[in-house]
Amino acid sequence: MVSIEAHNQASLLRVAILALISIVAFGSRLFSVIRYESVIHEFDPWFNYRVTMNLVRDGFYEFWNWFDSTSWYPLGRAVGPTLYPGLMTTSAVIYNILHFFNLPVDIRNVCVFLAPVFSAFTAIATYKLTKEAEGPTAGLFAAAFIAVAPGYISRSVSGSYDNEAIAIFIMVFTFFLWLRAIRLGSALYGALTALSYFYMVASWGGYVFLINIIPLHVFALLLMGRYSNRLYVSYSTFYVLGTLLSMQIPFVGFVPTDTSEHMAALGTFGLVQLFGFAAFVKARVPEKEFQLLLKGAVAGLVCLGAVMFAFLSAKGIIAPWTGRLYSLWDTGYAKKHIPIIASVSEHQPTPWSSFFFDLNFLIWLFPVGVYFCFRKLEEPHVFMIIYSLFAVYFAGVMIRLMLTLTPVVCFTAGIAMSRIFEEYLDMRSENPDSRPEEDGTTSGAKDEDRSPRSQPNTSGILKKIPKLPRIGVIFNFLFFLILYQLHCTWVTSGSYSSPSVVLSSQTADGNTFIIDDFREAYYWLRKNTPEDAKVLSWWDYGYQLAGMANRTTLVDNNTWNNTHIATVGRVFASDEDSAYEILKKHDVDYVVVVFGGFIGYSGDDINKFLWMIRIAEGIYPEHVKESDFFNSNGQYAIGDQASQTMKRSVMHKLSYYRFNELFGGRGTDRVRNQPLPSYPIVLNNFEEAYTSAHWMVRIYKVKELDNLGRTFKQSAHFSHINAS
Amino acid sequence: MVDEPIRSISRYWKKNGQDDRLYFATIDAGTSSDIFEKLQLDNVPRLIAFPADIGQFKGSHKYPREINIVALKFDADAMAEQLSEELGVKLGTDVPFDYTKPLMYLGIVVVGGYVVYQLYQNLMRGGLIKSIAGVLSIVFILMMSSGYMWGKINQAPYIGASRGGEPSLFSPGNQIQFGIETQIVSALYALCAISVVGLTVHVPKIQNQERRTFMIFVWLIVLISTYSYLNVVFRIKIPSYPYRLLLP
Repeated sequence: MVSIEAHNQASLLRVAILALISIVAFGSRLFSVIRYESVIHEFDPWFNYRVTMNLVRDGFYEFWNWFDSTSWYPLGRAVGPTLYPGLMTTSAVIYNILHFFNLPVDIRNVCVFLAPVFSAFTAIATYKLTKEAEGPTAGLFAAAFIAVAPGYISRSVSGSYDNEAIAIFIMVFTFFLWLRAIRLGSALYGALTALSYFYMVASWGGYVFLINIIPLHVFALLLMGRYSNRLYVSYSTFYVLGTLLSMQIPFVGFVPTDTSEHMAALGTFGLVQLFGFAAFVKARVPEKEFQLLLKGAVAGLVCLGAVMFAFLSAKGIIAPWTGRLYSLWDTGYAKKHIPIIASVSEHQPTPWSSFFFDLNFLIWLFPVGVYFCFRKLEEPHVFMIIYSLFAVYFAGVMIRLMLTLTPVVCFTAGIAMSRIFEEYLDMRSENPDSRPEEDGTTSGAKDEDRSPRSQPNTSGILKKIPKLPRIGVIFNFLFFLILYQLHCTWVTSGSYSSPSVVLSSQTADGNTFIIDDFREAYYWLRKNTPEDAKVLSWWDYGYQLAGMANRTTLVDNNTWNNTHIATVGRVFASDEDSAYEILKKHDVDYVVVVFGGFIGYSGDDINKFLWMIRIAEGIYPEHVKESDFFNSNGQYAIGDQASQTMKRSVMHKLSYYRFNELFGGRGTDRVRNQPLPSYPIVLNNFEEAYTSAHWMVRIYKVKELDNLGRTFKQSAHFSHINAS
Repeated sequence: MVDEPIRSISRYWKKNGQDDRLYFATIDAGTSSDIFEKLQLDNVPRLIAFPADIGQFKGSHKYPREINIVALKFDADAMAEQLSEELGVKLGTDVPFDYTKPLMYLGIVVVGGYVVYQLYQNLMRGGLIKSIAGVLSIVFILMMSSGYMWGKINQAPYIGASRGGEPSLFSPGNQIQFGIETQIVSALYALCAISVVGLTVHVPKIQNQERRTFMIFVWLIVLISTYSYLNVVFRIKIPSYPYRLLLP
């Protein structure tokens, strides 16, 4: 038998455990593929998928200069300079590598499985990072935690082909490289950090978080009087290279030089130079003169800085007090002034139950880990503390930033958990007296106190099983760990694995029932309308329409042009005739509304309608008024009690047109639990083109102009008279 | 609720208005119920604009019009805007600058800075600053992770009431929470965290084996019961949550 040394055994075990963790990380994200099929989820991923297909088909240069005239009709969108290309490039590279080795994998499958694969990488990066701070045990725990943490799974299930899918891995990996750079004081690792940061900038707008956390770490270390040459070398290398590299991304451009978000990094860079210079002088000048020099230099610099700041602000070259900075701290700002941000549910603040839902018992291990960080307070621990404080604040303000909090919770919880297991799993010496003292300062008085009395008094059961308390603790925490795994699987399976393109429900006999209305309707559009048809829908469905139906849309999830979105909102909120005018001006051929009243799908357009009205009112206050859509009792009713404006609005008409006929005039809306309008809804300017199987997607054709120049109301009236 | 915005609008008019074409008046139901009867007002507060029907500033229409201040959420700027539209004169708000808040902040910063400086000079050479920073950070983390910001942004009520009028501490449903929930939950988190710290830091330092065993079980019981209760509370939020510990 080949024997392996204990040291090698441990590293072999670690590799094996890490491999298993990676497999779990990959496996637990496959629910949706198994349950449905290998399909791209939700909204934004459809755009990324479409862009990736173009990239693979046409090559990088075409992609870079691609002007997409089929979105934001009639404005169009220059795609290359308005996106983060990291995700698409990554999957295109993977695709090309696979094809180089003659593995004919479809690009769709590359996109669908990209997020799970990168989650496995994240687990490994988390191991490396936590090991850098605390050691391999904590690293393994942290890796195991992040592998299944629902807060991260929510953005990285298979099919969720979005920037965050790879960005979290890159973020954790950049942090790892940074901590290693600062530990070694190595310019090489500093440069690697910069490269990894470049990848991050290319992938996700959240890079701003990274470029603020690292300088803050440096700043805190300087404040604590921990300046060192290692710090100087690693930060200077990282900042200079990282900033230059980040400016190569067209979407970022010169942003790193002139916005307030990047000023912390620049200021810290300047500060590090000053510290470096001071250290240089200090080594060459006697102590007394150095103190004098230091005081003079500080006073001079403060004055100079104040003058410069006043001058640049007055000139308008820098604008430190912009609304953007303001909105970060005053959380009511966006809600009041930017309805399109407030309308997105993931921009809402986070209730406590979401924290527990997404992190389970990690949420109370988190402060324990931070406590241990404070006890040690070495360079990586300072980093963890700063990261924790900022991430937890941002996660509290905005639910989607739970994603940036999850890694640090896993690191710190890993630290806490490793302390418990290292303490209690050590069964070698259950007798406390023979345990080696950790601190040698224990007084002699204590020694006398414990030994003679404690031994004979030990009660019966403890004598039989002296390790019982230890075993109890271990079992308790093992149980918590198992519970965590169960919780995570339950959350992932129940809440985070729905593709939202395809819905499922349970029939009365327990069978799963797939509702595939979206794809059905988009496919209908693809096959039955002219290729250059313009389709109007609310912006949520823009990317899906472009990706699945391949038709021109007016607005999509990019939301760069608020006026255009408000115009669409106004179409839905106005009466048929004024809507028709706007529709004709924009060459619209088809209008798509999503309606959930039949199957009880609550994310439908009538529920989003209030936001459409608000956004439209922001731009066209003279045409749309929110209060008009509430009836005299102040209710947002849809049936016979609805306000006149509501009944006349295009959205209401298109949603409920002929719907009540299904129920013989006595139906109810299953989402809002209100009776349907009992009168027949008359459409003059639209005709129903298609309604999907469960009435979820309704497509209407905008009628051509009447060839006698009448309004459709007149012509309908005319034919009505002629008929009778 | 509406007194302050109206006053600020009238102040604006007093300062910036060129003439006396506009008057602001308030009536109270207690003192002038006859006017209320005449105007058929049965609820307050209401804001009604009466255009002049004679004289040089005769309005384009005759009848008084009501401004729906509930829809404007009692916002002074929005009310001024509506009123100026209604009356055809430019109106704004004149809110006297509140010096107390910046002064208060300035005071806090100065005093706080001084205290920190003094502490640093006199006491901090040891680990005290570390401990203070540690305690503050952990309290901050506990507050944030139990939904403090949610309550602040959405102005949640502190406590709810059940049907029978008894106070209810936890609002059912994942989307709403009361102010007191933040406090209870953060206390539960803190209790769990403290028992873990007790188990890993405090217990190994106890020399007496019996007492150590006793403390291990004390901390374990505290931890398990707190965590069980946390799960119970969480099931109020999400009734379909399938896992539970000791408590039902």
